[in-house]
Amino acid sequence: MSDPVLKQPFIDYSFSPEAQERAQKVQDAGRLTIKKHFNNSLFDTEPSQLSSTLDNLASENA
Amino acid sequence: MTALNELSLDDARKFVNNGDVTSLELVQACLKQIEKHDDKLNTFIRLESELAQTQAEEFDKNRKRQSEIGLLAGVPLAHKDMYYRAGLFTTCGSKIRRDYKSTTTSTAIERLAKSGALNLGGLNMAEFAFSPTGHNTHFGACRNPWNTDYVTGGSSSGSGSAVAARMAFGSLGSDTGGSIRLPAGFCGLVGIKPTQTRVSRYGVMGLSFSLDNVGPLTRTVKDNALILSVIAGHDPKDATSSTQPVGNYLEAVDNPSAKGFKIGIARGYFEDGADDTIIESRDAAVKSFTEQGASIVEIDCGDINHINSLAAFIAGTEAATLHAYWLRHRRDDYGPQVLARIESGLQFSGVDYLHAIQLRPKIITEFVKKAFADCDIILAPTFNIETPRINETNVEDGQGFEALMSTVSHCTRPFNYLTLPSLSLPTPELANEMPASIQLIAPPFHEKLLYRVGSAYEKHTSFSERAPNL
Repeated sequence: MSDPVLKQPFIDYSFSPEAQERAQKVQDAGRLTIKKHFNNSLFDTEPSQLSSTLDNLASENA
Repeated sequence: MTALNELSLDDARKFVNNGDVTSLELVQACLKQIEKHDDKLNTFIRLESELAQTQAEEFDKNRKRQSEIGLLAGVPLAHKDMYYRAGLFTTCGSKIRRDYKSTTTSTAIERLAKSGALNLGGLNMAEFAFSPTGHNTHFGACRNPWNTDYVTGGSSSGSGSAVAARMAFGSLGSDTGGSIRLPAGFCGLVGIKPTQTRVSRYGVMGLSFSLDNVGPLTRTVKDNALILSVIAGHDPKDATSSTQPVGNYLEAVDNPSAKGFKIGIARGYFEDGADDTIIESRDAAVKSFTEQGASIVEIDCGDINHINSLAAFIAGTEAATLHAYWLRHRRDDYGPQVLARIESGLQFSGVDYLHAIQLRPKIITEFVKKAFADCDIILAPTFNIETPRINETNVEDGQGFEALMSTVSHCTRPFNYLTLPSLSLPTPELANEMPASIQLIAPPFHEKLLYRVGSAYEKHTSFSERAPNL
């Protein structure tokens, strides 16, 4: 069996196979979550949405 | 008579204010304690004893001429070695920045200095704040004053050790996945991760700019509220810092009460894999709240694992972005564990990362509406395992290191993605003769509520009267 081709994030840098395996696990779990939660309503996300969300939740729970 | 370094920060500042002690006497009491115990605890990366004494003398000289002095009048603190001060060294716990001198001063440090606080030096920490145990390949493991065979927790390891060992009256740590709350918990202290954006990160080493938080570790709830009162609030130099008004935290700690509040017990995820002693100590805390007149309700926090998977995209990608240059040019200067964690982040796609960012407001809103529907505050363990030994957890990048990282920060890291303020407090009962800890979690910007209820719990359990026997 030939050696796996390692990914290069930038020129002259390759990951170890262990790092690839670790990242793959995280990626698989994260993508399942994204699939579960993502919908069309997120198309119009505003850049300041995190800060306005926190402000709204602060006043709703005051 | 109580040694000066054993006073609470609140008492120390009052004594200075009244002229009963000088700032220099406080500094010298701390230096004496450091001299006595730092060899075995490995708490300081860099002690600045001459600078601290000069500043204390200056403070005492000016003190006589001033009618009003700051909130932290002449009290010596020491901070995780990642807060920049112009012209002074900041190692970030790393070999790469061992000789780094910053050209800027962090806003948090500037605000503390303005309030009269002094600085004893830079404290040990995990390399680049990227480990929850307190190990450090370059500077050596920091040790827990309750028992030096055990970890302090990290990444603010020196902050936990120094404050518990009465070497400083308080300390700033940083928290990206639990790095304030874990060392506070393992060392028997009070620690707060404030709401994301509550405290400016300007001039503080970044690990993950979406998840990083600045906050204090102290011996009492009031000491904690004092420091947060000084550092919280909008900073024009940090565009992400919130303009929400800062609550009157001192009013809350001076009027402690848990009576009439609904405390939500989070089970499920927060009990997964928990040691029996941890559940027992958590239950002792619940009993304390019941006796104080709080009502206890069980709450459903939903699926927490999905939150962690999104946080991993964010922390990994942002850390890898910040470290990309050094990965190219100084790869061999990283410790193996930190290198392994950073490398993983290089592999995530831009779209996955931005989806995790984009989903955040939606997930926070859903969580807050669900979890706080029937309670004012959530109560969960800060960690669900007994304090690990240093030699059992010195795994670097060996087999099982990821599982260890996840286990230690299991209960803390969800609240970084969720942005929520979280106050960790020691439990009335020890677990395997080491401190155990609960965290109280509130909706965004409700730090004042946490301090009011946390202070009542402190009064009822007297946890801050306990100290390690060094």
